Amino acid sequence: MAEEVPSSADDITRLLHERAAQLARRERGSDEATLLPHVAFQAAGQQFAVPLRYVVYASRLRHLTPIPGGPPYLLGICALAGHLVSVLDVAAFLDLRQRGLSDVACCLVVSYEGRELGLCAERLLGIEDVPAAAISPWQGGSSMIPQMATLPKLRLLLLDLPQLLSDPRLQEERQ
Amino acid sequence: MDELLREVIDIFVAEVREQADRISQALLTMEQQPSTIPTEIEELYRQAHSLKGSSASLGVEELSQLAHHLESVLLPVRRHRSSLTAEMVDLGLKALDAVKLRVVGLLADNEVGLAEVHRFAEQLEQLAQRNPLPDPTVGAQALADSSAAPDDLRSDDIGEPTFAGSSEAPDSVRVSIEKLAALIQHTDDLRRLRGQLERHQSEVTTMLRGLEKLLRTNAKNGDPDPKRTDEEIQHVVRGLRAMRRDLLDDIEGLQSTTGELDDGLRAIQLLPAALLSQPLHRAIREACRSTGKEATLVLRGEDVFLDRTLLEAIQTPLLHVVRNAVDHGIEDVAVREAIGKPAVGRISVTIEQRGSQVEITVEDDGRGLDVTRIREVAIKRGLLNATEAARLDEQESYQLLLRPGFSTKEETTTLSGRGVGLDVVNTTVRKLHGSLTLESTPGAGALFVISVPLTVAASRLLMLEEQDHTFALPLPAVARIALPRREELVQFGGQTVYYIDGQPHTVLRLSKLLGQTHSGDVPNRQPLLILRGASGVAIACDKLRGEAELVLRPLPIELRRFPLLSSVAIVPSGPALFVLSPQGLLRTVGSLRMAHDARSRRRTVLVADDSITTRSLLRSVLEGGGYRVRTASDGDEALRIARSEPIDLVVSDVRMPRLDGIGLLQRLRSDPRTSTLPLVLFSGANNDEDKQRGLAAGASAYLAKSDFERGQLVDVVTQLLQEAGS
Repeated sequence: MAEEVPSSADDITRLLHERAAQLARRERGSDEATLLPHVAFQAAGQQFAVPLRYVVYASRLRHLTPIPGGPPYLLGICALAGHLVSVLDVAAFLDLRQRGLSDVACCLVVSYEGRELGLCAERLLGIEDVPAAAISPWQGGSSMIPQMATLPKLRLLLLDLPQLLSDPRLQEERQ
Repeated sequence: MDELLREVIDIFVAEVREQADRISQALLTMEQQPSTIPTEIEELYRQAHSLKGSSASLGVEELSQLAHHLESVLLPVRRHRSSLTAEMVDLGLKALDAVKLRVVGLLADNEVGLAEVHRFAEQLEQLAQRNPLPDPTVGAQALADSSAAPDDLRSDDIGEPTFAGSSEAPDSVRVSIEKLAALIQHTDDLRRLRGQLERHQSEVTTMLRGLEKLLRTNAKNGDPDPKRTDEEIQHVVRGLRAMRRDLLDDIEGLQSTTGELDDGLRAIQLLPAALLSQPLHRAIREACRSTGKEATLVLRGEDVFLDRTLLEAIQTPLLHVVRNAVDHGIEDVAVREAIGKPAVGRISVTIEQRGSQVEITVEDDGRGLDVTRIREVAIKRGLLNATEAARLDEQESYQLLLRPGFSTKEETTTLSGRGVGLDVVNTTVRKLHGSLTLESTPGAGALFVISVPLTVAASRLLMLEEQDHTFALPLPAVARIALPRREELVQFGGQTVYYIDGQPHTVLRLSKLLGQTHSGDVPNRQPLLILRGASGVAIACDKLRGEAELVLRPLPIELRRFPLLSSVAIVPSGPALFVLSPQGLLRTVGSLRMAHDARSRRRTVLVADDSITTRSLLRSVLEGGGYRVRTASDGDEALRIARSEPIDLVVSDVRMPRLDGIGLLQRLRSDPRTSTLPLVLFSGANNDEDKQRGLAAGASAYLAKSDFERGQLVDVVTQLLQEAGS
């Protein structure tokens, strides 16, 4: 069948979007068996995961310096193996707390485009190879967690780190 | 060898070699690709100018002269983007080889290379004088490319200066082999300790396996041989005890080695800004000698420790700025005297750490920047037309000075006039991710502010504790520390005030500034900090923890919105500490005081007393209580002020010339404008007669000077004002 010839800029844009969507569907279909390594952790009763490629360090949290006058979702700063990071309580930040963060024991240092942030965790659950087929959209209403992964023993909320770091609450305030 | 040169010889030699290599490369590139002349010649000039400057400041005149003659030889190329001859390239390369040979001699403190440098400097000078004709073999294309350029700048040079080495921002420090060997020794120690820990881990595993096996056997079969079980457990316990001793030794070894490693690394990276002192002095002296002017250097902030890379990188641009200040800013002695300025000009260089930035301010008391002249030169050089130039404001006009090749100087001297200096400064500062700003007051001087981020810098910090949290404050920001006894803190109108040298200081708790509430008692010796620039305010904290010299790191992005925090101090093996921003604290103090003033509506008290001592004392006491104070030296003056200005209360002496306190009181009461104005009689004589006369005349209160207490006066004033207001 002959392809429709676009006649205007809008038509071209629509056509490009359709092609992109087709390509995306095709890629997803072929990659359903692909394993996407994530680091899973538990915080405030929720199980979260971030792609392994963003994780630069994970450690027990020994020293946490609280931020005077800081918001409740920023627990403090810590220096871990040369990484100086603010420690974010993801559940509080995203208003997803199921129960109080009882025992902040670990910190996951994540990095994106040269910027680093610490994610606090009660427990590190380990590295999980998430099959692409196990990923589905998450309807929790946060743009920072667009997807979830349902694994045999875990239900992981997949953090969109670039989206998280671009949140205005984590930006330098413009003077 | 000069003592200063000896101190920095390794760095200097490395820098000269790098400069010689870059210049050589630029010559070769231009020769091979004439189209690169417009960019490469700028890079070459910057390197040559830096070589000239750093050599001159260290007294290595032969290299400075050679670099100057090399610049002269290449001036036609730069001016006209043409005429790079093979002869220039040949001689230039040979001369640069001589430079590299000479630094070998400098390192060995002998004359190796000196004759060669002199010979090539002479040949370069002769070549420059011959003013060679354009060689058709090289540069023709570049000439064609830039034929439309009106002067020594092409229109496409305007704006972002291109810098061939921009990708080579300083990211390394130079370390002597000796120091490196010491560091490697420490890493060897660490490796040995790691081996020991691995051995312990292996031993623990063996013991654990033995125990587990024993437990499994016993669980399955009961304990068939309790004696053997006991022996095995005893064996493990002995092993663990021995291991504990070994581990304690290992921990001690680790502490010692990491401490030494830490010290070694810090020593490599950090240098005091005082190292800039001699080069700056020398640069100014040399500049004065060349120009016949007189100027002196005032250097502040020598005790600020800077990252070595930063210090190295900033030295050359800084020397450019001070030479520029002598050459362009400071007037000739005769001119200065004629216009009433001191004959000797003053150039102040101040190095300060402001949060995560280092700010270097160079201020001179010369003629300032001539905006008209800058605009004229910009028009002459074709950077702008007259209409565009007229539209520039002062700051935009100053920025023209930072463009490549821009110079308002008519003549070229060894100091300036080639339009390179400020260009180099600006480019270097930008490479360090910093900024350069210029200010000027015509006739009074110019101000250059270089602000660059601290990548790593150790700062002297005051460690303090408030509400169980430790904070650090840059020590230079603290003007004074006081430890008053509890009874020395006076309560005035809901505020605590402490008098230092007779001046009231309102005490504000650090926790309050941080937006938190403070719990706990005031200690008997309450630590108070008086910050520079904070008049009348003392900041209270729970404890002082002494001084420390720590490496600072910039705040993570998400914390830069907290104005009271400036950076983070890294404590070896400890928690990260927030370094408080003195500027942020001052701003918060200001807003808290404004809020307090607004609440207390800054009532004005008029003090009438013929004794200047009493007037000063009362002013101090009342201001300490948060009141604005007007003073009068007798009743007449007080009456005039009370009738013409908004006065809320009067404190008046009884015995005064012209019109005494009782007379003043009667006149005030008889005037409808002031009839209800509260008046406190403050008498030197504590007698009933005065008191009765005063109260009968309508005084609101009577206080005797002999019974004076600071708190009582403020309390009485506050109470009367509250009554008057209700």
